[in-house]
Amino acid sequence: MAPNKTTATLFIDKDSWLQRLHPLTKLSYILLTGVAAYGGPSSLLYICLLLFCNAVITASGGLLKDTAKALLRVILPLLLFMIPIHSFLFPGNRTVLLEFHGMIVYQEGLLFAISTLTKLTVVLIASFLFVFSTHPADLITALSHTCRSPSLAYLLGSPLLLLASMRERIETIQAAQRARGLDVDGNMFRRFLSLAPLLLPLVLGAIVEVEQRSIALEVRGFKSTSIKTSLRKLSDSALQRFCRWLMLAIAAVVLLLHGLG
Amino acid sequence: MIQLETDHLTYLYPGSESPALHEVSIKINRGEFVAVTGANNSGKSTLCYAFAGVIPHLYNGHMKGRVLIDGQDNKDRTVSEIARHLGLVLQIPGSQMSGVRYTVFEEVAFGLENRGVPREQMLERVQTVLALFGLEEQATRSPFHLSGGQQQRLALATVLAVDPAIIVLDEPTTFLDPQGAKLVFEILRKLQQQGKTIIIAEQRLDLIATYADRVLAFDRAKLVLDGIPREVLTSAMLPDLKLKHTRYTQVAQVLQQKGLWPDKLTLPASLAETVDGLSLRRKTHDYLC
Repeated sequence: MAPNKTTATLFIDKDSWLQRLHPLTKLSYILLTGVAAYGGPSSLLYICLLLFCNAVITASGGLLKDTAKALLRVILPLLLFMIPIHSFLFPGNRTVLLEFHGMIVYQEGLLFAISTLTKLTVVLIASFLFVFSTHPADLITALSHTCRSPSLAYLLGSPLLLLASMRERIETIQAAQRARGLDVDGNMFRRFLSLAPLLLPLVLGAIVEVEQRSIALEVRGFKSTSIKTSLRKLSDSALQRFCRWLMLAIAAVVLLLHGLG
Repeated sequence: MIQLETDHLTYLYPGSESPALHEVSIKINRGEFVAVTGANNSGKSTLCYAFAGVIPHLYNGHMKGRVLIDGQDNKDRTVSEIARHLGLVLQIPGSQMSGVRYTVFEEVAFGLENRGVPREQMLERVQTVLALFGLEEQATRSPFHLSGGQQQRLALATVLAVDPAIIVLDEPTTFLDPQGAKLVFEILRKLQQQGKTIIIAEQRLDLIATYADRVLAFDRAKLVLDGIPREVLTSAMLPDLKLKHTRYTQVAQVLQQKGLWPDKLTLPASLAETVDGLSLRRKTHDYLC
């Protein structure tokens, strides 16, 4: 049963092969990408190759536009800070690339910044690909089936869902405070001042809710040791399972080689 | 036949010096509709928690006495095991939600998944329960985006889906309007007719008078009144328990003072009892005339 648009989730509902992939296969892919980017060769060409592979996978899943948008929001501010800082101040700076009014841009620093940002981009693309193509409920289902501990699956899966109820509570508290004359809008300083009266009821309310929710989960058999079933159907196959193990094995080998130097 | 029993139950919450329940002994039969009433902090919620095994399993307080379901001590079973026989509906409906299911449909199915119910059976059961509570149109919405009344109905639906023999409800009508509260009681009556045992902590005495078979009134952790609604809800002790008589009892009290209520007839607690009393008076009056 697909949720309506009011649900707080980044999932994009499309019928592509990426969406149909088992969440754990995608999680394994993120792990492999991360290890390959940070544990593999440091040449820019290799990193660009990883970037290209990720871009192709994202495009084939119809998520290129959404991923690019999200990526820009994260990478652009980092780019604006990292490029100048490393170009000017990187400790290994030796080769002058250009000089402008006494400000010297060094090749080593610039390359280091580009390499770091590219690695980060590779991992971010893989992560966005996962978030956009995986419904959190599928992730929770997959984790519940895999993890022996339902509590761990809950811990990993619940934060996104509880955001909606938290946001609702914030709005209620703010409305109540507005009704009693507290100004919660306006400039930064005013907003900052209104944080204290917001946080106390929010935190106390959250503590009470956590206690109540843990009771509700217990009485609804969440910690039951009997075999559980699932309403959501996750497509998995022998090929996917093989790919998962293969990706984990490759990641382990890369890490080992990286460790051996 | 006794299904649920507390035997000299006393409970102190951690850090508390006075008990939340003191020497409470109750026997509840299969298929009974029992209302538990009393002022705030009188022990209603604690009793509900004790029935569901939340006390002592999830609180480290001090407990004396026993709670038995079908003769088996709650202490010897986990909360999950107890949940197979008894469903608990919490006072705040939002807290009843699992927090790990995205839609109303999935939320109702959550308890069934935990019990290992096959998927096909699960789909059928969820659809039936959603229809019973008028939530079919909300099936694809997030549980956190429902109104208070809808959330309360959903909380009930999640418990009902797993089909427990005993349903315990901790003030489930707190966030409902009178119409919504009546609907909850109507559903509970239907469930009772299907053989379920219903135990509801409630302060709406009008509804208790109409629907319950038996009322337990608590005052400062002690069970002080136990009987049929007409007996308990018209008791002269009620104001001492910080509870108000129902409007029907209040009207009959005024009629009694004016000599307009049949002398030997007990005061009414519900509309039906009031009508009966007034009809009896009319017949007596017509006979004498």
